[in-house]
Amino acid sequence: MSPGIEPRASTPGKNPHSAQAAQRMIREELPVVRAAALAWRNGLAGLLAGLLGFSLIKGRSDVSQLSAPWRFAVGVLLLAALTTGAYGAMRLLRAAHGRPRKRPLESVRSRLAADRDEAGESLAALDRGVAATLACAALLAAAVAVTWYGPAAAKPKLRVVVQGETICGSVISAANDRLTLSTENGERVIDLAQAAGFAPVTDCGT
Amino acid sequence: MSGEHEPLPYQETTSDEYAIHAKETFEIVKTKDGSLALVGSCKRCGHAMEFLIAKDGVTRTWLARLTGARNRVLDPALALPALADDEDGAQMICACEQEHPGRPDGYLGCGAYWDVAVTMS
Repeated sequence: MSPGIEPRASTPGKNPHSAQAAQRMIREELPVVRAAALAWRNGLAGLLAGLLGFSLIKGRSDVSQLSAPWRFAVGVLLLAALTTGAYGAMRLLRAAHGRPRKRPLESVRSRLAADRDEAGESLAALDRGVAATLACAALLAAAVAVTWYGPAAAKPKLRVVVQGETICGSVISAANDRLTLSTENGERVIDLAQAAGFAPVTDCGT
Repeated sequence: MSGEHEPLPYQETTSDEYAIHAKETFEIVKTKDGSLALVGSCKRCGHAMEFLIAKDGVTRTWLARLTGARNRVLDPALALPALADDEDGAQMICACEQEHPGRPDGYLGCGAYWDVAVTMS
């Protein structure tokens, strides 16, 4: 099926303003898409700069303070944010600047048609780039939130045997041959000279 | 036809000849989205022109305006219905980019316009 046109009876006095506006809009499609893509590209660049510099994470700044599964979750979220951001950047750059490529000359029969095709492809790239940018921001926010509010890693504890009694807790201080532990039953001061054994543990229940 | 040194003044006018000329001489280029680019020369002024018949067009969204795109804003209410008058027809205009004295700002062409129906064969 090939398209054609057939003349219709002319209608004198018909205002061509709408057709003028439409043709002008069509000629501005590509610049509109390009300008929007540039704006999004700049926004994503700022987001990625924050991500790569890790400067957005201000609360708890070290993920090693998180408990193990949450630490890995932050890593996965940051990796996903980086991947999504990179994909979004590629799409936005495609939309903002196009992709130079060779084309057979006989296929270029209308600049208006070529611009229309390019505007359509750029608009699709812009939509994907915008979605990826928003996803990147969401993933980054999730990574920050987990880093701030995720459960802290358990502090190492010490189990000490003194005069047949086993005392377990986290170390508060150690000075003058005296060790102060924080135990379930409150603080305990231990004379190190009488300690028969030490064992570092992660959990006093084990 | 216009002389090289005396361009035709802009004048909104129509004639059956314009549409017949378009049917007989214009090349039709189909775009990927099914729109039709009509490439030829205007019967009135003789200048080369391209005209796109499409069902829709890209315009700026509120977000694009916020993010600072600086293109002119068209009134979608004016633009969109004019892309195609009905299912298979459109009002065409001369869309040459040459000067024609008296042409309103932002307008294209010499003022010639005509109606065509789009057919599939």
